Amino acid sequence: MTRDEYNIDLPEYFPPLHIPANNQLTNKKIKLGERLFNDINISIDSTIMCASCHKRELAFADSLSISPGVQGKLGDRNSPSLINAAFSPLINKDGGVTKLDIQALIPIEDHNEMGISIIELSKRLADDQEYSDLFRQAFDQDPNGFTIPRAFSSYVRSLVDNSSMYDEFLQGDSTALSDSAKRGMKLFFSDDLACSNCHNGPLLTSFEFGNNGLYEEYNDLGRALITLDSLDHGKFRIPSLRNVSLTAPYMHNGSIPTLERVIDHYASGGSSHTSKSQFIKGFKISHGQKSDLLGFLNALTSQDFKNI
Amino acid sequence: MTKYILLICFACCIFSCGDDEPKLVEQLSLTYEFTIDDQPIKLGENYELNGSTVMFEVANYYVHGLRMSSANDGVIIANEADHLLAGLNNTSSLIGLNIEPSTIVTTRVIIGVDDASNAQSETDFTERSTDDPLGLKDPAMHWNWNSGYKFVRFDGEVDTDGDGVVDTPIAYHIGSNPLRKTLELNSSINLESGNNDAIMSMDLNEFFKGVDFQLEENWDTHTGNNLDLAKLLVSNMESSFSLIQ
Repeated sequence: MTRDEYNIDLPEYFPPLHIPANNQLTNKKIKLGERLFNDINISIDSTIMCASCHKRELAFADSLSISPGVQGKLGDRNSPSLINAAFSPLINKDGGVTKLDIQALIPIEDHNEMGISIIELSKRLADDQEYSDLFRQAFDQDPNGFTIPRAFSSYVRSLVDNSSMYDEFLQGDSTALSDSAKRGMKLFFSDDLACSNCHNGPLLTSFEFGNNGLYEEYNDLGRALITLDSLDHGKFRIPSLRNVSLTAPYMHNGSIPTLERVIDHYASGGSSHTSKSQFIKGFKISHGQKSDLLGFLNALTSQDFKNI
Repeated sequence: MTKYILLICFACCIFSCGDDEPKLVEQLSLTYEFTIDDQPIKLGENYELNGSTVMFEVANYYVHGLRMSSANDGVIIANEADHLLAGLNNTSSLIGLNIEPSTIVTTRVIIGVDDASNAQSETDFTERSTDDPLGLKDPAMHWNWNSGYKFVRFDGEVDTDGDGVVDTPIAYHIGSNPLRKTLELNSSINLESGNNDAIMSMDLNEFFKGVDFQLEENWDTHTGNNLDLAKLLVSNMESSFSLIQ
């Protein structure tokens, strides 16, 4: 291992983190990615940056339903958390992008987000002597369509966290969860609520795509935009529930403002739709049980982003 | 005397052997045109199409799986793997053909990008040289929100209020594996020794047949968001393309 190589210590129960051979993690790449992430000059009018919509204190998500891009333009989808995002095999709520190393092109080039072509951004960064030097040090190349998204992906790969109370519980500390959170955990994994059919594993997601009955008709077709299959209408990637207490509002479009209302949605069985998941059937839950469930969900919050 | 006659005959043989040596077809260069009412168009200029005034500022598409056949010898040019980027300012050259002069009578082309390249999961467009037809292009032929390429891209504007000024953006971006289109084009391309030229022509009257540019639902497709329009355009491809000389 060279001095600049960046090694991520993953707990045994975490899935493996794929790092491509042509973009090995280094401190220089991560620092460069972090600098770009916090630089308004990556947007066409130099008004917004990645951190505008992915706020560290909100687990790198946002508190708005739809975060505005340049000139206040609005897209269609809620800003997701980036913590542990690198574990997802497919990127985006519709899984349209197959590798993290080209994901950053979406916000960079979307006219509702940064609104700048990667070619123009490459020129802008190459004209900046400091950035030009940093890219050469990190990638041995100028800023270009290959290196810019890979600087971002390197930074996102470094955003791995397992510092929640739930992690401490999984690692053997039975006192890490309160009695209420333990009761909530039992409800979460019960057949009655069926949460864990979709939200399972150490990241509380199967990474599959599901229609959770949010609407009878969807304006945003979700996965169907990619597969062109009408059976995929309204299916979106099942999100990780880590840090869910910090990432309100919820759903693909940020339409549900609180976790209490999310639980109400699932308890009601949602709207009818031909592609709705078989697991969304509705359930009975008392006020006390809801409080316990919220206690468990709260225990999924990163304590101090200590690995970040 | 006999010696001189023999020498002259020998010399004639040498020179005539050189004249009989076959000359091969070395190169075929394809240029691309787009027509409205049988006239080639220019980008940035207004035309009447389907009763509307339209202007196109981007007109590109990908071709691969090129297979050209003569009447007697079957497939004589096969360039299955290479992708060609068709556009008004592009020329695609098939070089090193080294085949006998012949006449091409049918050409198979596939409009779009092959599965493996479109998946982007191994080599993606950012890893390719910008000279590579599948590399980073301006205007972009890659999706950013979806892995893969725009097989066909038309951008422009249409006049929607009848004042003769194009004012409403239109965008037709067609991609995704199910919408790849294989075409068999009847053609008559004489390939002679040395370098040859041919034109791949796209008839926009045919391509946009059935598209009423006055209706908002027809102003754009990015494939998944307006699949019906994308499928209509793909089906129109059958009668849109020709290979001419």
